[in-house]
Amino acid sequence: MSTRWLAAGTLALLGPVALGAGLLVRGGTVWTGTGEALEGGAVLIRDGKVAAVGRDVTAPQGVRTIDVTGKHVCPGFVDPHSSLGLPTWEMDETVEAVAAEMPVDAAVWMDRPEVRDAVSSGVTTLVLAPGGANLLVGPCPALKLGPSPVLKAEAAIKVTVGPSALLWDRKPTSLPALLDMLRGALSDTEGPVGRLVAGGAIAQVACDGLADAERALGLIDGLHLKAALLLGGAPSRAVDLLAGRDLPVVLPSLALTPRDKFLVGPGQLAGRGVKVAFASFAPATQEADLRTSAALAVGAGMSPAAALRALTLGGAEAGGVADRVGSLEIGKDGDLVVAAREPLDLSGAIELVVVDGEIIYERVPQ
Amino acid sequence: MGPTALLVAAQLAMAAGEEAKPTPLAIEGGTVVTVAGETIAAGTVLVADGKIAAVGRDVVVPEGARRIDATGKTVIPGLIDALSTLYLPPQELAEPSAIAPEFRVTDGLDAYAKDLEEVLSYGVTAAHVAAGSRGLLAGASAVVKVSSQPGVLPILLDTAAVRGQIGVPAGSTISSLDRLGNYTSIREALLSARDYEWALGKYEREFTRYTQKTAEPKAEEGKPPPPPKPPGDKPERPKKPGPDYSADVLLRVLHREVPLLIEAHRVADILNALRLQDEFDLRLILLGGSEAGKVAEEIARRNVPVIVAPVSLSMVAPSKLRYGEHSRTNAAQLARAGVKVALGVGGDDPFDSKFVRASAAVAAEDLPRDQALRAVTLSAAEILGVADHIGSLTEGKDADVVVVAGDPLDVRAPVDLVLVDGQIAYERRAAG
Repeated sequence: MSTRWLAAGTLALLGPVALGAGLLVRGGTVWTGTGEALEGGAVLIRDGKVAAVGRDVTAPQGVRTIDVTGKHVCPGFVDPHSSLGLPTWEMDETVEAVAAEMPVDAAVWMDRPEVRDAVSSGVTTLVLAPGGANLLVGPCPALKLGPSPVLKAEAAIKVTVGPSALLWDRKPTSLPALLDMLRGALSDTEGPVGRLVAGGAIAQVACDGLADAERALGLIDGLHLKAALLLGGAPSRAVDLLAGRDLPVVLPSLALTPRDKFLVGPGQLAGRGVKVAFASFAPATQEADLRTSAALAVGAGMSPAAALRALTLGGAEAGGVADRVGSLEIGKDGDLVVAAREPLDLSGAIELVVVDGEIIYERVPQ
Repeated sequence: MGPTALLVAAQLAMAAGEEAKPTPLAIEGGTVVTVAGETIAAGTVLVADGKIAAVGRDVVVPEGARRIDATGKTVIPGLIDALSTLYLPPQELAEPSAIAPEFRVTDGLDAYAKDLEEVLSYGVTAAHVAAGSRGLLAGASAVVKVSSQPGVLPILLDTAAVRGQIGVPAGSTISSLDRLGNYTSIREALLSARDYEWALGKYEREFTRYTQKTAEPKAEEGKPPPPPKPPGDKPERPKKPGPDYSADVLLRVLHREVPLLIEAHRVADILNALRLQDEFDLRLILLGGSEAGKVAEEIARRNVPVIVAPVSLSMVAPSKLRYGEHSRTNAAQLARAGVKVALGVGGDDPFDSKFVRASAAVAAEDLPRDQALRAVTLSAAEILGVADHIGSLTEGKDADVVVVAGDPLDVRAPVDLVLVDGQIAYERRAAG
C-alpha cells in the first residue's frame, strides 16, 4: 500500500511524460558507466530497458528522438545509502536493537522538495536505509525515483558494527555482545535477518574507523556475507586493509568531510582497485552532493573514469542492484542523465533525467 | 609607479649589477584570463615587487627573471571568498551582543589559524571575513589575504562593511515577529545614531555660542581695558553628549563612507533591508540572499550589490530553515536583472573557503561563464571596496595569481600554482 502511495506521489510531483514506444537519445557523448565514452553515440530505450547503445543506432518507427548533440549522456546516479524522504524521527528506531522486520518503505514520504532536488541532481536510484542506532535494519528497499518506484523491496540489510549501535539502556552495551548478537541473527536462517541474507539482500556493514572496519571485515568473511562496507572515518587509512578485496566500499558524501585528508581517499582506494561508491546518507547531506563529491574527488586525484563509475555502477554494486542499474548496457533499466558538459563538470547543468525510459526531469533554462 | 617604470627600474638595477630585490617572475604561455580586460591566448603575466608588472602577448621578460611555463594552462586572478570565516576561531561566531557595530572582526582573528594552506591550494587568495558575531549589527567586516606563513595576517581592508542581519536564526527557529524585530532594531539603531549626530551638532553650536558669550573682552590697542563681565551673568556651559562608539560607526554608514552589509535570505527580510536603503540612502550590500532571485528587479532598481552565499548547499552544512527556499539559480537571476553579484562559500568552518571555485562552477550552470568567474574575482573586489588592489590581472594590482591545469570552472582541473603578493604560496607537487 505504501508502495502505491509512493508511486502516486512521484507521478504527481514529476509528471512523467508517457512515451509508450520508446526513446532515442542521440548525438551526445555517451559515457556508458563501464569505462567507455562514445562520441556521437546514441542510447535507445524500449519498454523501459536499454535496447541499444552505440554510434549507429537509429530510431524505429514511433520512437521519440531527442538530439543532445554537444551534450553528455551517462547512467542515472545511484545513491546506495539514503534516508531521503524519511521524517527524521523515523530514522533511528531505538527500542529494538534488531529491527529487521521494520518495513522501511512504510516510512517514506515522497512528497517533499528534497525528492525533486535528488532527481534534478541526476540521482535515479537509491537504497533507503535508516537506523544508525540499530544493529540491524531491514529490509531496505532499492527505489527508483520514477513511475515504478520499487526496484527491489529487499535489496539490503543495514548492519552497524561500532559504538554507535551501543545504547546504555538496552542490549548490547558492549562490542563483544554486539558482534555476538550480529553473528547469531545473520546466521539464523529461520529468523527474519537470516532469511533476508539467504534471499540475496546485500549486507551494508557500517563502521567508523579502522578498528571497526577490521571487525566488520571479520564478520563479512566469517559468515561469507554478500556485503558492502559503509566506511566512516578517514578512508586513506583503510586503503591497505581494503585493497585487493572484491568488496564495494561506500564513502559518505564529501560534504560531510571536506578536508583534503578525506578528499584524497576515494582516489587512493580506487587506485588500488577498490570498488568505490558515494552515498548521501540523506538527509545528513543531499543527493546533489554525490556529483559534487565525485568532482571534488577528481580534483584531489581520483581518475575521472573511476569517479563516474563510483556515482553509477559503484553505487549499484553497493546497493545490490547492479544487475538492473548503474550502466548503459543492453537489458538494463533505461535510466540516464543528460548533462550540458562532461558528467562530472559541476559547471554543466543536469538537463534531462530519464527513468525506465520516461523523462522525469527536464531542466527549464533560467 | 607604472609598469614600464617598474620594468626600467628592474633593468637598471640589473645593469648596475645590484642585487635585485625579489627576482621578477614571468608566467608564460598560458591562457590569461585577466577578468578586467580581454582574455589573452598564450600570454605572459610578469610579476615584480609583489605587483603585476605587465600582462600581455608581447611582454618583455627582464633578464634573470624566473620563468614559469603555463602552456596549456589557464592563468586567472586569485579567487576571493566573499563570505568566509578564515582566521576566525569558532568562539568568535557566537558573540551574543545584539547591537555592536563598533566591534571589529580584525580584533578576533587568529594569525596562527590552521587550514590556510589547504585553502590556498584551491586558488583562494583573499577572503571577506564577515562573521564576527551572530548579532543584529555585528561590527566591521574585513578583507584579508590568505597567507601560508604562521603569524602573518595580511589585512587588506579592516573595515569593509558593517555587518548586520535580518531574519537569520541563531538557533533552529525564528518567528515572523522576530524577523520584523530584527529590522526594527537595526532601523532604531540608525535613527538613534542620527539623533546622536544631531545632539552633537547642537552641542557644538551651543558651545560656540557659549565661548563667544563667556570670552573675556580683550583690550583693544590704545584703549583702556573694558570692565570685566559681572559675575552671575555667566551662561551655563552646554553639556557634551557622552561618547557613543556604536553611533560613531553607524554615522560612517549613514554618511556612505562604509557600506552596510545585511545578511537576509527570505524575501520579506530582503525587502526590509531594501527599506533601510530607501529610508537612509546608505550603501547597502545584501549578503546571503537565498531567495534574492525572486526580487531581483527590486534589488537592481536600487543598484544594491548582492553577495550570494552559500551558492550550493552541497558544500556547507545544509540548514533549510536558515536559507529559506534556497535556489542554485539565484546568482543568475540577479545578474540577469543587472545586479552586481559576488559569490561566497558561506561555510561555518574556515577551510570551507576552499570551495570558491566549486561555488562559481555551480553558479555557472546558469550564469555565463565569464560572469561566474568575475563573481569570485573582480565583482567581489568591487563590492568589497578593494578592486584597486585585487580582483583582476591588471598592471599595478597585487600579484595574486593562480594557474589552473585546465578550465578554471571545472573543479576536476587541479590548481598548479598560487601567488600571493608575488610570492609562491602554493605549488602542486607532481602526481605520484
